[in-house]
Amino acid sequence: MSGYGLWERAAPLLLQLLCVTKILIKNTDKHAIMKLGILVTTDKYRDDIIGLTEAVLKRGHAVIIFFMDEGCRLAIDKDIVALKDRTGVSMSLCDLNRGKIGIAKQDIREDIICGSQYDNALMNREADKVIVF
Amino acid sequence: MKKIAVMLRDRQSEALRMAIGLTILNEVDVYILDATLEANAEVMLNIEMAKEMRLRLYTSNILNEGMEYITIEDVAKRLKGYDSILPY
Repeated sequence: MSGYGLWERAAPLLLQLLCVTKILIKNTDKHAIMKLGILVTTDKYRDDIIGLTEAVLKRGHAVIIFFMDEGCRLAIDKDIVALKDRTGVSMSLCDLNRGKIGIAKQDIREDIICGSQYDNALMNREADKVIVF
Repeated sequence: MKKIAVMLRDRQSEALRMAIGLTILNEVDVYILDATLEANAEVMLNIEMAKEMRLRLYTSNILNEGMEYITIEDVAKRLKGYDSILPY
């Protein structure tokens, strides 16, 4: 009889403990991986983009890169494109700018999205921080 | 939805086009500090579209017509409230 009473008192506490643990796990996951957005509007900062991306990945975070304007030229740079092979890197570019600059679509790697300003809007919404080069 | 400030600098037309595009998923304000708005057709078209999209356009240069005047001090205060500041 007394054992049942103990269980009855402990059950709500155990339930609360379970909920708190779930919240803690959820929050830990949320803060473990951050996303850095890199908006590339010029082709002047190739090495900085590579260095920054590698540093972010080394810390276990993710990078979203969007190329537009003169920055589209870097979307065919082999060292920049090689970053796409790393886990946690996604890339897209403004197809309108690509056409204006004169880069052929077939020169863009298949897994780089030839998109629009929607992809830029998406990056800005998804990224925790955005840096402009 | 993020709150974004686009700071127009030397490529005004592209900056405005980007600002308009960003409004799809975000809240966007546009600032032009000191510089004068270029009077070419592309910029004017983008300004018109930005207004239709109800983007708020601020400037510290009183010569820029059709934009809301704001002092540099007020710009500094407002910038604290944005998730991202994109100079272009």
